[in-house]
Amino acid sequence: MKLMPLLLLGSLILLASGCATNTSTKGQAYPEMYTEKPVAILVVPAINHSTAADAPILYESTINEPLSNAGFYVLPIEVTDRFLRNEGLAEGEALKDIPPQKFAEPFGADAILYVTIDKWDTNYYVVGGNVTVGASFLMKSCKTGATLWSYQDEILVNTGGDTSGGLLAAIIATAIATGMQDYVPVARNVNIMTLQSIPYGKYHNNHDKDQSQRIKLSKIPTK
Amino acid sequence: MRIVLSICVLVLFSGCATKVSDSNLYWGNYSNTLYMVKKEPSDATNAAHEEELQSIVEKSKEMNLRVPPGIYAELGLYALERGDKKTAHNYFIMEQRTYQEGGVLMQQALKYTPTVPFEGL
Repeated sequence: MKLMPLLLLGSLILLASGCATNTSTKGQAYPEMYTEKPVAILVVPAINHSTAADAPILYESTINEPLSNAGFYVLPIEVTDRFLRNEGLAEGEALKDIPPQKFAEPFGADAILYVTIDKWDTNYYVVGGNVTVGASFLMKSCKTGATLWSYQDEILVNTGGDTSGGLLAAIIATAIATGMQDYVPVARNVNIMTLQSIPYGKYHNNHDKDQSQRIKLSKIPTK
Repeated sequence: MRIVLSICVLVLFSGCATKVSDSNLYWGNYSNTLYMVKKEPSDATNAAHEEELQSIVEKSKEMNLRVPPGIYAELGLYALERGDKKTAHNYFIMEQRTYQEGGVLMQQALKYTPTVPFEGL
């Protein structure tokens, strides 16, 4: 019977720690997305603070798909990249200092998506491996310059560990043969997971109906 | 019963063959072929990506889906790089017609393909 208070206490601790995980709804977290309703999104080159030189092109190859799937019109990245390069703005770092409003007219952009990749750490184990990716996403309005949506997270993606041995063996064989592992699925997963918190855009079936959807809150970057 | 079963089988199979997103878009192998172009730009990787873009257009049409953002525009860039301004022009117009939000940017792109009338695709 003496166990009972302990159990209760344990349950309370569990409950309290459960509350510590910060959640909110999309409507509460990102009200400006619902008032401004951006559609055309300009994706600019990522700022890379990680040790993986490939991270920016992995990001740029895998962002169009999930961002469009979330209901937005992603301004054709291959086209905007060429225009930005012509203006000497190929680096994400240089773009950060330009007011978002400047991109409204030449590109027809409603909002800009800035991404900083902070971490891309690869781990190999005997039975598999994983990649930890830390990234901050920031969407700013091209009308007002205000932040509409932001998300920062560290995401762990498993790249192996298949118990049958077949897949893992194949991954290792590929890595040995080509000197590189296929990280496109990793980058795609990071983008998909991050974009889970974004209010859906015009072309999504649930556009303007997802205000009450619960999301995990991130540390929100301020600039 | 047999009809129901065969419909289930059909649905299962079509599910495997073509993945369509909640925004009703079909992407094929887009991210992979695009990454290869960026990682190792060559005639081979560019050809593979252009082929994938064309396949996305065809499959989207077959399934009565909107062609995803940027696909027509990228095909237009490939045509432009080959010097085929007429085809490039048509693709840029198609991007604009599919997504009015791309109108401003496509007008910029169309400056590189002047005086070519739209002939449809």
